[in-house]
Amino acid sequence: MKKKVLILIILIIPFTFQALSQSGTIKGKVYNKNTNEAIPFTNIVIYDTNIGSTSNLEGNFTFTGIEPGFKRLEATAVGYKKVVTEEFRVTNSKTVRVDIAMEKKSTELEEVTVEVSPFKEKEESPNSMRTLTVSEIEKTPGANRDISRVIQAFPGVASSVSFRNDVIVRGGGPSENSFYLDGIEIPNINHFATQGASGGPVGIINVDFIREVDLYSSAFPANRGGAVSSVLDMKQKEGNQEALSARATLGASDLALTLDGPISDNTTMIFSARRSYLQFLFDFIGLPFLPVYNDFQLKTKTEIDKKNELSFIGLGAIDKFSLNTGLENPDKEQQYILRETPVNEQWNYTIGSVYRHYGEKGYTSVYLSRNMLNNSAYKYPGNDESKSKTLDLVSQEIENKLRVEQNENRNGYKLIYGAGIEYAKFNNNLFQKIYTPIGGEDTLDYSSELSLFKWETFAQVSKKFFKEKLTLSAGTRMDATDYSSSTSNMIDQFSPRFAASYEYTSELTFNFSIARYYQLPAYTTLGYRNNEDKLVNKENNLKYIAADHIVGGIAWYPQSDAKITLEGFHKKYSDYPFSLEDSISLANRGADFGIVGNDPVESTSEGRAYGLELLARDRATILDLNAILSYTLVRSEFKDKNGEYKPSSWDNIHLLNLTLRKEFKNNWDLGIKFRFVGGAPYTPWDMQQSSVKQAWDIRGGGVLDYNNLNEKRLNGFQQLDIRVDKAWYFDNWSLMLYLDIQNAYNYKAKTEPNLIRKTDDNGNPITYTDDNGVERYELEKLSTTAGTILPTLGIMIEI
Amino acid sequence: MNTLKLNFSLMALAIILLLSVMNSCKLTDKEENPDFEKISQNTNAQGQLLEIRVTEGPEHTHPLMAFWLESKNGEFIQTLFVAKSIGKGVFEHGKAEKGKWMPGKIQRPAALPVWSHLHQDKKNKYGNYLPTPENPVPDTYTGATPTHSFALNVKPDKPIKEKVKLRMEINQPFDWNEHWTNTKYPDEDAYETSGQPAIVYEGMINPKYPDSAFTLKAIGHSHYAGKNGKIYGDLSTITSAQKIVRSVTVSIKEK
Repeated sequence: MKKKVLILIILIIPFTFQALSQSGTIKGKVYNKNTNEAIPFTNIVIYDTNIGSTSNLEGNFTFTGIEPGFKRLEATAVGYKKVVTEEFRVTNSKTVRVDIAMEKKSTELEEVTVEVSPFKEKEESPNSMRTLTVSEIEKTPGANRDISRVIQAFPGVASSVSFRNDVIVRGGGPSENSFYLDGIEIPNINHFATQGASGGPVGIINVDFIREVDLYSSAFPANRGGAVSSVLDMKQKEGNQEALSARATLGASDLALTLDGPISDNTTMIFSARRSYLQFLFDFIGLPFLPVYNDFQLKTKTEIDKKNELSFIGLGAIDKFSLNTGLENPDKEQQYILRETPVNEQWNYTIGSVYRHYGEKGYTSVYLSRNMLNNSAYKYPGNDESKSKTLDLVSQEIENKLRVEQNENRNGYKLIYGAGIEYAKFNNNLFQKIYTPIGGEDTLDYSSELSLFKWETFAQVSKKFFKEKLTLSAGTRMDATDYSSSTSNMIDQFSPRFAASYEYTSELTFNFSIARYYQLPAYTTLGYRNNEDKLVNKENNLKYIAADHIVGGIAWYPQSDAKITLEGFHKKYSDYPFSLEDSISLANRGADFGIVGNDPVESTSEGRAYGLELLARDRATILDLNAILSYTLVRSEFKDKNGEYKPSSWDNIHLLNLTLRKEFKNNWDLGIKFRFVGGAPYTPWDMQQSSVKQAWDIRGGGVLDYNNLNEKRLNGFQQLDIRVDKAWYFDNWSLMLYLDIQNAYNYKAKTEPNLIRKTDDNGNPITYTDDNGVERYELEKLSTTAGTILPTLGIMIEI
Repeated sequence: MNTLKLNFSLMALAIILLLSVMNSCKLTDKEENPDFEKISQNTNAQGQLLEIRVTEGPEHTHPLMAFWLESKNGEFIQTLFVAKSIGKGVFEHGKAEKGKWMPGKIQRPAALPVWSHLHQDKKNKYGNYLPTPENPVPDTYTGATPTHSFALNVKPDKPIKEKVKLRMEINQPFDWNEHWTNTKYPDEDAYETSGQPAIVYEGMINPKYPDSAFTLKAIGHSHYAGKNGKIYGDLSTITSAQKIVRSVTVSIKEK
């Protein structure tokens, strides 16, 4: 009863206030991107309106009396290219800071006004790059303000049925991506991350910090490495220079507090802490596992003087997981999870600094960072703690990085070049009982310490020709590590790239890119040792994974606010680790909890992914709708042990997304998202091997039949998400509510069947001895489905 | 061991933050004891030497200003000083040519409307009372706008023999606030470059007391778009514009 009253109060309170005056304030500075010099007398308008302001001699500008909501600015300055900024939210309660970086026009365009589109393109990446706006991040239905989920609306990005945030781009596995936050590489973006891959159930990044997100699915800039499928480049906001403000958010699964404000005349900060309440929710609805996550995020920025600035970032997560042993009368699936799920705990952090010095023609950035992942897992047979552990793991990945980057603009040539070094450590203490069909029972019991030096160089030059109709960009990157002679020669990892874009008309552009990318295999693979303490994979000449990308496409801009692109892509993988234990390519792994890559491997696997992507984005030109329609036809195949191409685990074939959002009067928003993900292949159980009692007891589950790798395929998965947003902007505070309904028509997707042991009336597993005297369990396949209607009420208060 | 490492990292982060804060602390000596740029205008005239000391305030960003004398009854006597761009009708960033700003003719009637309505009684060809390149204020009374605090030594054309008012009008372009918003007068072009209207300061010169000094006080603001020369006494909506100058003191240096 009390709960009902509370909900009623929450729903009624906002209606008792009058939404007050429109008094949002925007302040900012317009500056030369390369030199940081102020640009005076820049004409700045709120995008798509006549509301304007002008920068003063110091480049500063102000807007007051602005209606709250999501806005962009359009800046026009004499001698500079017109700019449309990223999106930001205006409220009455705090001043929004928007600094605008502008680039000088080339001499041949001095007299020409070039219209710009809010859809940003970069010279280095004319195709395969998508930018997420703040409103998309905040309001995409079903995404619950989680970046990893928001990007699933873009073409080429697949999602898994099991409510995980695996980043699966253009048929590439979840381990093939890299993530950058303000130019600093962060090891992962999810809580309970799969070590050796990228996925997890909930994102770490607090979107209150995020200004803009660029997703590259090819045509990576040369200064971004460590990936063969995608690069997610996130830029954070800067703290409020005017006064301290706070935002409290009650989200789908966590409670967050964000503080944002000045800490001195020239330093601002933004800090947040979040804690999940999933454990109470899961216990309440009777789930057999209870996850708890916490995360912290920090950014400070100090303007030392007009030519020097220093930023610090911090990002950390502490994830704990326990089994809900107090669950009453668990059903078969719950029993399976309670018995067979390892307990997993992890924490990770990234801290880093970015020093930037502006010179005459460009700027120098120095990135110094350290990140660490501590992952532990243990498992008792049947999770009975009176027995001996079958798994006990503590694994740490530590990286210390220094990168120096120079950005310049010389006579219209845009140059990016630099170098970096890294010292990394991988510590792995593993005790694990294993069972292989060939070798039988075995025990892995080793401590592996691995220290690596890595180094990188990169350079890229871009230039526009023929009145900026033709844009060419060429670059190269080389990486190496002292891991082994197979990885220490930079020439072996020579990574050239080339991109071209031709503007046939102001509405039609042809784009092309070709590149070779390299990625170091996961530490779990690099540091894998056998019981003789040998780095098996080093002896097996483990190499960097290589991927050749070729992408061609057209972009059509029927309106300034609309864009339609069609791209064809082809990726060819080589030197992918191939598991000698299971005789499969590791490319197929990474979308499950735990660890991937701790296998003996050889760099012999080859694969390919290819397809077509269609993307239509429209911002308010048709019925005032903000629409994203994307369709991808993708095939992803890797060679099996016989050298024949077989569908990989990411061969979803069809991906369809439609997102529609509409703003209504009085700050109401309605959004729907429909997605269809084609059925993913999966490998069936090897019933013969799985039923062996010894094998089951050791593995805590069945054995997959890799002789029939990915022979089965799930049905397609579909989901409709609906979201309603309402904001109230009062004079000194703002209240934002949302109701998000995931899977609105409760679609149940069939997932891979679980294998469980049959039990007798007393709940004991039924065993039998076969004709060869082998003791076996009686097994049964448990059909499982995923997908349930999931309504969430989110509350955000900003003061 | 792991907890120790985490604690160490958090401590390192705290130290970095502390250093960052310490680094960002600034001394305020400059604000308290500013260097005054010295400017001299019309010093060969017959009037008494006046020193006008303008101390910049925290919102000072290249304001335009004018000083003039009025009789006790409000009759215009003469201009002492006016910003060159207004006095000549030519601004440094007046027009764009070949991708660069060049000096060009600009009329900004919202800048100093009280002064301009007193300065001349006939409208110019642009329909306002501002000087134009064809009819500028003589060089004797104009100068480049000082960028920071300044001390203006200036003489009236003739000796001051009875009490007169010394007035200053000051306006900073594009300084919007919560009341004078970007959207308040969407059809007023002149307002679009101004924001908060110009403020008029006033003090009284008494020639009986040479070597005396006094401080100008804000008495009102001008019309937001420069449509008339009235002074509006309500300054409650003027916020940051009142912080363009910290103080304006006038000293009578000789008889």
